[in-house]
Amino acid sequence: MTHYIARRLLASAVVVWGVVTLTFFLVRVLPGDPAALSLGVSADAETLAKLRHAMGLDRPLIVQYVIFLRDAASGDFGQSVYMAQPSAKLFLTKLPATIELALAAMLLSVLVAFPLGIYAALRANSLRDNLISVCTLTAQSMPNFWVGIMLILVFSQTLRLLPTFGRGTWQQMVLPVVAVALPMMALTARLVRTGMLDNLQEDYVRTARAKGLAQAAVVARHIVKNMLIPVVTVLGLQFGSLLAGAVIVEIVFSWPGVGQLTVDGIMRRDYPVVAASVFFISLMFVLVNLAVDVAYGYLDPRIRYR
Amino acid sequence: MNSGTSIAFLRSLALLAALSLAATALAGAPAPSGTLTIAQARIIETLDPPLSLSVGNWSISMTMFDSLVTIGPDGKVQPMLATRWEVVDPLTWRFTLRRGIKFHDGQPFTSASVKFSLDRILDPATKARQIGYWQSYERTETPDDYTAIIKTKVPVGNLLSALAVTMMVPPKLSRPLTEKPIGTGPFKFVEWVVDDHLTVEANPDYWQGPPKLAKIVFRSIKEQTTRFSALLAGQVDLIDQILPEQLDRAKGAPGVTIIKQPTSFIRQLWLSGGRPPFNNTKVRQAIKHAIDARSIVESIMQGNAEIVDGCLGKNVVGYVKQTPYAYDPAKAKALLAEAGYKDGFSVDLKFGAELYPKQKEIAETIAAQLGEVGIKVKVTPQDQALWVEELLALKWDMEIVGAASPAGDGDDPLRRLWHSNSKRLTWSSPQLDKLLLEQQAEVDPAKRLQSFGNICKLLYDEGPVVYLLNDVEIYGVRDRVTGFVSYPDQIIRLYPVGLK
Repeated sequence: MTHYIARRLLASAVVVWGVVTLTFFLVRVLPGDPAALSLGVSADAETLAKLRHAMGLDRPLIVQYVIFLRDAASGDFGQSVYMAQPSAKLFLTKLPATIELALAAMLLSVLVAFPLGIYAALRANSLRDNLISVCTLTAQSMPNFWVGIMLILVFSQTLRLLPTFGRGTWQQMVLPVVAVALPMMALTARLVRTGMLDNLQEDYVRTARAKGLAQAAVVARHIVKNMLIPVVTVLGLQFGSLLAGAVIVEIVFSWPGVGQLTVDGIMRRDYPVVAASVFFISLMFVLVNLAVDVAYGYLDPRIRYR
Repeated sequence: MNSGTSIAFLRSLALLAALSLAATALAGAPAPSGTLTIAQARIIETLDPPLSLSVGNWSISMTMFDSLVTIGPDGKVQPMLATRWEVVDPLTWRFTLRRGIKFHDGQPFTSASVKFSLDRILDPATKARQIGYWQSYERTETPDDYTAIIKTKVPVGNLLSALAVTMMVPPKLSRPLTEKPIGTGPFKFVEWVVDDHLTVEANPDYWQGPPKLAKIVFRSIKEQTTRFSALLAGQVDLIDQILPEQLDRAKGAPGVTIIKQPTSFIRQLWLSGGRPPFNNTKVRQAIKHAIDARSIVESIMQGNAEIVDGCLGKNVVGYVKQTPYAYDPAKAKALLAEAGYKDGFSVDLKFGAELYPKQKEIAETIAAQLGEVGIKVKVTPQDQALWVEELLALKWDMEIVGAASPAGDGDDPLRRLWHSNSKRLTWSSPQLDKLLLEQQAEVDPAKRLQSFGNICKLLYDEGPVVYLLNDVEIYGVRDRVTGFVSYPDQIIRLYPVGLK
């Protein structure tokens, strides 16, 4: 097991390096000159040349890459062009907001989705099951920004129950968490329902029932554990992408997470910000995936790590 | 009550009144109170003033820092940290500085501060985005603590405008300004949580008297609906960039006042005048006759913009009124025929789609109107990075360009865009180049205005540009806010603002 994790960690380092390198060249291949963007259209050629030099953009690409790697190895991804701060620090100061939103949304969707999915499966094809299916399908199809704006219009502007934007109090968390959780909740509920239905027909369930176990015990002790693998896989992937920031929701609720920072970085060709963001996001993504893989072993003892 | 007692009573009343007046005078202005929350659409970029070119950021800088001079709501230059100035010779400006001013950390403001503040903008290591305003700066001399002599390499007619947006910083810094801004302004820095909020608090020792507000919380809310909802729900006191279509909802909302402020921001259609078909003056004039700017202002901007009747905003130094071209498709067709384009031609119209409101609608209207005179226009929206790159590389036939006069002066949007050295356009005119340098070098305001008039006339007569509209900024202010005055440069000045 330890050996497995060590090997995976090593592979992860290679993956992160690969992603960072790819992005390094990708953003530079994209049209758009960070210096020109930063100075605006009225800048003259001399000023532009000076800034390009100060930013090191006038060097050959491969030299820029070597310098970038050398600095990145010591955790220095460079200063943000617009924010005039170390980009790694910028990312890390905003990361807690993102993790907070991701964890809360995850928790909420799991808490709602499991009972909902199990309930629907146990009453498969009934009116209530169909109703739940319609609701989850709708929740999955509604675009995030629209849900966010509707939540603001109803709960904030009209009813004045909750704040429109910002972070700090639990009230400010409610709307963004709901907006992020809704589609995830719907997806998870559908997965749980399908997993339940697949397992309900299995022999081990019949055996458990034959032993005289109550319905609740059969579900909780036997079925849930068996259907968890696909659910954990999907939740892991979802969580991983949430750590990259729920960009749309962050913008709608002015939530100070990493998503906005990353997207602004790309739009403005703020190379250092893009590099730092991609590094940390890919690192987290790889680690979450590793955690999911390790979790498989606990969920299904048949899975062995070599 | 007999007359004796009543006189005594009146006397004591008068005494009381006099005493209370004296007490008020002793206490000075009422102590700062209340917290104002303001939500701007633009993101807060940095705490170090010259590192930003965003008016959203400048609004914040101006709470913590002062400049040597400032621009009034009427566009006129007023004294600030400099009490007087004179042009010694066209390359030398002498400023007399205000005495007894202290930075928030206790350092005195002197000519050394002026020298340091300007020198550091030119230092490439600072990476100051404001460097463009100081291209012709030579050096600052400091004959004594309260005299600063600014030398320029060439005569600079817009020096005062540049100074009005150049904040004075202390020469000795214990921490970088990006972390701990220290100025002489009416508010002191408290904290900045990136992408969340920035807080400043009243500076009770401010040289113009303490501000009315105890605290200001700046937020940036990019999403229009959220910003507007936050205002209506009373969570913020002041917002900018309200959209024309939101105005109906604002009208019914209690406690909110809408303020419309014509800005110095002008959107214009550039033609690639150095290449066919736009290298023909008649074609350019035909396009000016074929575009109905009024319909853009009235139907697309819903009246929340103004017709341009010069080359600059009305409050900008250098504005000279011109007669806009009449909308006349028949004449446009005739001019095209005269130029040999009886059957029209096909061109590409590029623009930054997300840069300013309604860009796409404006582009489509232009395409439709030019279509009527036989010119086929392909509308090409672009993202900002691609747009800037292709604009600078001159890879375009027609472009929608927006230009502001950030320092309240026409030099920036005219000389820096139109002089042939800038290579912003394929078209150039030796006559225009001469006029542009003439206005830059002219330190006499009246003569300078004359040059601006000639520049603008030339651009109207034969320049490859069609002026489309002058943007109007729409602010929403809650009724508890007092003393808010909007400015054409879109900088929000918060020192005079208070709360009921």
